Amino acid sequence: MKELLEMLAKAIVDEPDQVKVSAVEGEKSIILQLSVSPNDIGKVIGKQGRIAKAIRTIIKASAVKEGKKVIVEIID
Amino acid sequence: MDDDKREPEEIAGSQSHRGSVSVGKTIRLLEAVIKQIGIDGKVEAFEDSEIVKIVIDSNGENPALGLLIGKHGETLDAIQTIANVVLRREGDKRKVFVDAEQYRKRRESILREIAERAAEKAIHTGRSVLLRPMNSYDRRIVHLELCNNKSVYTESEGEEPNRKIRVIPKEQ
Repeated sequence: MKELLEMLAKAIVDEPDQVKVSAVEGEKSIILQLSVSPNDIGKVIGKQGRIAKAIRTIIKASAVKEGKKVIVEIID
Repeated sequence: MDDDKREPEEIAGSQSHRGSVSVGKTIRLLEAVIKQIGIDGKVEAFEDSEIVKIVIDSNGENPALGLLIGKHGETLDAIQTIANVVLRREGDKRKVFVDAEQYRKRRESILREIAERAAEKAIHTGRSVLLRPMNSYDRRIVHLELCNNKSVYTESEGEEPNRKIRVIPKEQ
């Protein structure tokens, strides 16, 4: 899941080297914190949050098999 | 998961049926996505000069298929959104459509039916009919279905994500 988020982010930013994902894992939930280059923040959020929403939706689908709630935070 | 450090040309040439570099890159990403969702399947692209149609084909029965499509196709739409971004970033201006298990085709026929029913109601009552909020892909299907209708016309109103179509009777 962490790898997937990293891969999705790297595919849409200009500075893939700056993409970092850290996971904070609880009993029932996982918080994934995505950080990208300040220049790329707009790219991972998108107009009206369209891209961020799409990323969250895909990550959520991939989290179902682990039976945990997943929260994706974009850090700036 | 391996980092994407390879050159695009290498990726594009690594498998068959990969017309362009941009499409090859998109397919590779989607392959990784479906694998992570838990689906054993194939990702194929059919492209022409205007559109790229990507079809996710799973091997047999798979309980994870519902996950891939999501509620009202929301996961499929999300995958399609990302696929469009990746393609555009490669300088490819074509539009990408992503389908799995012929979901789009099934959805399209449902939307056409909704459109026709709304048109009938508008004609019958002489008043406009407001449909529930739809995304741009779904709205396009409804607009197209009714664009040649002699008795009604369609308009979109409201802001995303609550943009809706109004089916309006033409004045006779």
